[in-house]
Amino acid sequence: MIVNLVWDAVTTDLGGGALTGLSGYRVFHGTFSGVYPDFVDVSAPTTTYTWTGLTDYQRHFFVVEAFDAVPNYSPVSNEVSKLGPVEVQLFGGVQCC
Amino acid sequence: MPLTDTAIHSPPTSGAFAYYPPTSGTFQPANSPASFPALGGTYVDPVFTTTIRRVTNEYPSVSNNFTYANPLRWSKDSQWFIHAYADNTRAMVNYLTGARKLTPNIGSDALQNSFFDPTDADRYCYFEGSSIKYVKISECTASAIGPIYTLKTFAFALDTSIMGGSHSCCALAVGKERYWLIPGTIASGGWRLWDRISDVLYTGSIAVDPGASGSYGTITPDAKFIIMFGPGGKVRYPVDHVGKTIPSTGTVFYNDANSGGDHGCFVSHSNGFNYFCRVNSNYNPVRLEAMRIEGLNQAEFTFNVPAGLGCPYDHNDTAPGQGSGSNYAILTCVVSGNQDNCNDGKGATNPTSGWQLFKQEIFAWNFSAGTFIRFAHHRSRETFFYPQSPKPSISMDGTRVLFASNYGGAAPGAQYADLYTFDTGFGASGDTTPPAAPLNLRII
Repeated sequence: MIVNLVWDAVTTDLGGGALTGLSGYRVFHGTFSGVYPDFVDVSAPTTTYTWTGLTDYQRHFFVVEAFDAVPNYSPVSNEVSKLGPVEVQLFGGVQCC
Repeated sequence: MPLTDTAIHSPPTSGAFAYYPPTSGTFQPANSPASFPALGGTYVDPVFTTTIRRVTNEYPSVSNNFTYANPLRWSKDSQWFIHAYADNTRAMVNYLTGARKLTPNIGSDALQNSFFDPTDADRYCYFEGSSIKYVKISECTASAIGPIYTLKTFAFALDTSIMGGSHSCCALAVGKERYWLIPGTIASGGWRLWDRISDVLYTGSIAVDPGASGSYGTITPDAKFIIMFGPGGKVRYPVDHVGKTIPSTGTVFYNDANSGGDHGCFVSHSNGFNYFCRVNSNYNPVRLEAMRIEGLNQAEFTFNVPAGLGCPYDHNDTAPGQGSGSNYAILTCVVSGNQDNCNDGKGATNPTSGWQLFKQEIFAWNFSAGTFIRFAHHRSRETFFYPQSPKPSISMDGTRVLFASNYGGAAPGAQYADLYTFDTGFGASGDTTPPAAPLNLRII
């Protein structure tokens, strides 16, 4: 399964001041809400990421945070999730003869 | 961009920057080639591409320089460094032009007892009697020392004779610069910890004689540990910032008998641990090592230099404490000892033949990532004497390095050297405010 993620660019620091030196974003992934053992870094100013190789039949959760050159890390974004394709088995009567 | 590989790179043997032969026409101040920079001038390292600035011109005098790896040889804003000129003039020197402002001459060994205030970009401090004195950079000029102020007078005597040359007496990490290690005399109880901002003297003291041979003190950039160097090894003393006290006894974290005095540097890594880093020439091949302080002889990260040098490596190592370079140790390799044995000096044999990895280099080692940034050949030869040893000092924000070199430009045994600076490319940071959270994450 593939998930295409997109978010709004960060332009301010946590105090509301102008942000200088934004380095990138860290995109997190997990299969439980609030638990994200995997991450990948995306360089600014890119604000999209395509997460590939996700297993089907499972729900996948994502958040993203921003970081500067220090690095200081922002709080995480809102969480989004997507359920992988589920195989549906249809059981019908046996036709005979 | 400096090189980041681990290939062997010798300096050139021809052209405007020829390292060899060391006679007329080579790149050294003795021959005054057009390519060699005058005071305030620059050249681009022909191998590593770093722009090097010459910031003193004392050829051919015997040098008094005392760069010696301590980041607080630099002002907080990385604009000035302290220098003892050959004529014993003491001055703050501008990193870009070599312009200078006079400072008090506080004794023959005193540069190691002086430091720029890491909390105030306008102050240069030194220990005197029971006090910390300072001058304001803005009030000193090329011809006059500014007014001398007293920052703090303690109720005990300070040992103003020795602080150890290589290390900062102040914590260097962002927000930790307020913690200063104070060298009380052994008779008055020994080392103390002072919070320079709240003016709180922590209870407890460490009665390691700061005047004893081989005994020096420092504090880690994150202010978690006071470190003592002594004949028994390197010892950590954890600081209790809640109870505002320091212990009287410590724990050895490195008992290498040939541990190189106080040479080495401290990195408070973003992984939460502290490391003592250096070039360890007691191994063959020479080993770069990052010893975790929270352990015993725990060389958590090492790098063996292939085909170690055939003569002793000396080294001085420095680390910034702040900015994007704060996970790096900045190391230098110095071939010391007899020039003929080291095939490194003015002999007839081409000294660039059989050149070795990191030889005569100033480079940064990100030990946890296993990566390098190689800045320059320092080109200082015949480093029998401290003035000729490069002793690079990085500024506390990591943006600039100061080093000494004779560029081969002195008669054998002469103690000439000048000072040079370069920009590292590391970003400064006083910034502790993170970005705001990204908004509107969505799946499309």
